Amino acid sequence: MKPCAFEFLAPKTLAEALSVLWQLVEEEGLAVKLLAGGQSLMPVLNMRLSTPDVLLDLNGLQGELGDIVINRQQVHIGALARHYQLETHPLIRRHVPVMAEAERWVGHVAIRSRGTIGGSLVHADPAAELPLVATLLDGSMILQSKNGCRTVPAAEFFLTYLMTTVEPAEILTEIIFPAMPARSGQSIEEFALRHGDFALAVAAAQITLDESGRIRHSRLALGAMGPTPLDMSDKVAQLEGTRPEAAEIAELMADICRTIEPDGDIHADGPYRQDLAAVLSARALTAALQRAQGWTEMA
Amino acid sequence: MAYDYVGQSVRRVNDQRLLRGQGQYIADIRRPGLAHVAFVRSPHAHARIIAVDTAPAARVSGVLGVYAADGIEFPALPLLFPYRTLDAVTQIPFGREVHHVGEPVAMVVAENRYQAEDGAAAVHVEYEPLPAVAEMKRARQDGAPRVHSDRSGNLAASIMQNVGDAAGAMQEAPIVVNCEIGMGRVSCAPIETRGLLAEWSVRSGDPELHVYAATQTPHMMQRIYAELLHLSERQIHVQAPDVGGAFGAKEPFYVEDFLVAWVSRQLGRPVVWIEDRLEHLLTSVHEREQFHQAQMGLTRDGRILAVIDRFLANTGAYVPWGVIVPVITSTLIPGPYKVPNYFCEGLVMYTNTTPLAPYRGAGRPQAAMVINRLLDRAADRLHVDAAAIRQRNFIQPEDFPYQTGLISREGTPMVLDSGDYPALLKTLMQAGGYAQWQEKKTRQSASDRPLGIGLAVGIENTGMGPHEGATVTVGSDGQVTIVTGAASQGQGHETTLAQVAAEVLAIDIDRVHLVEGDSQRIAYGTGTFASRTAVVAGSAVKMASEQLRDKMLTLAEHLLGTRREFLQLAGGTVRVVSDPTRSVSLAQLAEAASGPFPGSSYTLPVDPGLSVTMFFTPPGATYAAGAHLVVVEVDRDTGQVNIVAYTAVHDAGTLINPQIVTGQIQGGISGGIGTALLEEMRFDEAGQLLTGTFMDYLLPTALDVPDMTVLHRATPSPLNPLGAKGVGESGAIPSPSAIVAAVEDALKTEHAVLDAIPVRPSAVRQRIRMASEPQ
Repeated sequence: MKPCAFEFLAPKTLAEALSVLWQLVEEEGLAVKLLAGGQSLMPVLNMRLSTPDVLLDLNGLQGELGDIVINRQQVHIGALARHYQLETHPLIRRHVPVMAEAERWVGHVAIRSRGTIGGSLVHADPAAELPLVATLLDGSMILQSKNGCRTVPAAEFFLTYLMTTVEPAEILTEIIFPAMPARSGQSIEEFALRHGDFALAVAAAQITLDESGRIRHSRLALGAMGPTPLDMSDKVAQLEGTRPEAAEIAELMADICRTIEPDGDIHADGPYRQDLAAVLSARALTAALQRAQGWTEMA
Repeated sequence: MAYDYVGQSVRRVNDQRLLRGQGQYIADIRRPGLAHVAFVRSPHAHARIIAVDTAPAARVSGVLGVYAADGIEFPALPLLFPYRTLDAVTQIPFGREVHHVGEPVAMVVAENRYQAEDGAAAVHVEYEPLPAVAEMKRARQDGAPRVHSDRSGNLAASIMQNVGDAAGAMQEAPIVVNCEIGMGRVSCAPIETRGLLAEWSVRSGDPELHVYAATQTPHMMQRIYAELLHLSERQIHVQAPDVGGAFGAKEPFYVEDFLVAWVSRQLGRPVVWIEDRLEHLLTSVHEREQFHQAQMGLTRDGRILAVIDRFLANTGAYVPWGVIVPVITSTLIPGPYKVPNYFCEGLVMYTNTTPLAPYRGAGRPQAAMVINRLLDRAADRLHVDAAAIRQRNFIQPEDFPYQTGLISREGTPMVLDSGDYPALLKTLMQAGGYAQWQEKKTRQSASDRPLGIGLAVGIENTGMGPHEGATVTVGSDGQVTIVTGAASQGQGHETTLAQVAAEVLAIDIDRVHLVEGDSQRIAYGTGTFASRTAVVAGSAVKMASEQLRDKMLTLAEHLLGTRREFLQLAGGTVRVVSDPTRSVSLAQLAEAASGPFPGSSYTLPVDPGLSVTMFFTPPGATYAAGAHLVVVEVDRDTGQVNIVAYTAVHDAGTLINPQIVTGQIQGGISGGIGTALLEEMRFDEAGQLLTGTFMDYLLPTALDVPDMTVLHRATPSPLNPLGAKGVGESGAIPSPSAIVAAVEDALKTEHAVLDAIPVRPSAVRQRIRMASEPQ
């Protein structure tokens, strides 16, 4: 369990990193892996599942890519923000509370102190929490290369298991999330065999109420159900305009989840995952609804 | 000042050192010119090796040598535990046929591990895949693939126990209950994996092998090396430095142990191999996997009349520790209960999977599972309480020594030495709040999160022979050194064995030091496994210390001119009671006993040297016991099982260090939680391991292990001078049965029958789903 030999480069600025990456990939045709928190990459290297020519360490860019700021109801998160920052940052807790809540399910303290949001999104494990939150809130990924910059919505970012639209010469530099609207609540419910394991099922929800207390918008996303996080918001749109009881939500979710067909593995067969999806999404929607009902201006 | 150390929770003397990262494990040892090994392992569960091309690997930078199954003939490893019916197949280093995924087929030695792995990746092996069988039930069927091509079948051994007339008694029993249960395969999973450093030298013209090994059995390794390498034991030095846990994984002698020592000689360089976690999960021994079909006959008032059990046990591709595990299971099913008629038949099957050998518990958790689940079923049928039916069937305190009528694993009649099971269970019921939990369970039964209560009592044969020795020596500085043949893997021997000596010698414990796990410091040793060190090494330390004390007093009588009834030994000094100014220190005694200056005559009334070696040879196993009470909460929607209360009461005989004993029981229970709810090594039909990392093989973490209450209720053993019983494995024995019983109890409304462990949430949900569907 030792990695293959690779060259190690540690640029000091984003500009330098983009330029070096372009050179290595586009001009020298080398296989490059970007190292952020290393929480997924290092085991993959040690097991020789990935054998890059060059490891480009981005940790020197912490000053440029580590900030969390709010600007016109949009929360901008630098790709090198660590999980523990997302868990504890006041802006996240107030404006993207589901992300802070999701972080409690991300690995363990040691993992959360090293792992980054950029690393998690680019790794694109369909059972991971941050890709799910990005899908739920339709976050935007800012991808930069030496030649420019593009913005990719979450719906287009995740292609399949461990695959995204990021090109070899691109770096994910920032992620933008809409701040939670007024009269809203968010929630995430996860089930794993042990705390910190990859989810067997995970559901995240956001409910926004109108002034009369009826549901104006409902959003739901499910993780660990297929090759990418599932955006189920269309399916729960029928809740809009209603004031549902928990039991009604549970019934609806049992129906809806019959339409998804998760794969089984040694930890959970398909029908069990489907069961969990129904239970967890009902719990998440109900909790989000209750939080929306308890929403106050200064929450 | 009091020196009654035995029974005190003395703080573990090694913890400071180990927690500060000052331990010396195999991977910490540096030798000049040390080379590193990586193994090429079979990707097939069963295959013939056609050819191995080592040339590309030999060209890899840093590679020093490549050795393969092609062209080298080694003898098979010796059989460690013969058994009457055992058709033994032991592993052949670099054999031409591989019998499970992960068997070494080539080894690469390089300047560092990275280059060794580069080399291993470049070795090309051509295999002819052969039909493989991974499942023991399948292995038993007619027409199943043969695990070993040169054998006519897959049966490794059959085991039979017979007391009274079980079939006859069963036929006449008014109440008969059945239980079918499969137990999943688990890995030992110590924090430190296996590892070995071998170095050759020449002394007096003879080659000499020095091995540092993460092992539980250094003297056994010494003997096997001598046999396989055709050397004398004096030429082999095996040393176990700090060892980071073992739980059975470091008991057997593995092919890697041989190959690393062998290749070091080939290269003329010291060589180290550190097993990585993938290798550990794939090749270090597994345990537990058994399938039982059992039946119990009872009277209408719940007295056991007969038990019949038929089981299959998987031993994997080889028998690295004989068939000890299923033999123990067969002898311990009756456990603490009176079973007048008992029949058990076990078939041990070879399969093309990783070999199985003892893991903490070693066949006893399976036995406890069978008898306790049968009693649970009987209690249900008779509408009596689970505790009541156990009380009705216990062997009573006045029945000891209790003749079971069985033949123990040593081949002698099995006799239980001591115990008080009724009191053990009574203490548990009170301490665990059994009655209160029953009430709470009833109140919560209709909720989405019902409670369940489980109970189990198990016994353990511990402190077995043949022997362990101890040399206790007072140095010229008055400090005491103990040398034993046992070998610590974290059990705290340096504390507990020092307590025993310090009490006898009435000396401060920080002046007592332990040397262990070194074949050159004591001629014989058995090792640390099977819950034996406190009993066997502890007794040897006590005996040697007592003799040493006697010797010191004889010498002091002579030096002080006072008879011993007027002398007092305390605090490292022998004093005349009536005149404390007249005294002699241990240092002075040691100095005197080492003799006067060279050339003079030795005239003292004791043999030279303040050093005594004694061996303790236990007359038989002493039986520890444990009773466990578990309360679980089950989430009906997700199938999640949460342990909300765990209480255990154990009889470990005389406790040397209660805190260390409690820690052992907590550790054992943590293992039991894993066995019952989480851990399982799974293979597919072709024999490929599906759980090769800790992402898929789920050990309970600190978050999955609840706070537990551990109490002790000792009946000292009459079989050793300390009155101690072994405890290292105890916690793991009743725990799986108690936990499964609790989960089943929580699912009473669903009439769920749990017939396999681990009980994962998916299985719980499946039972609930089945119950809710119309029949």
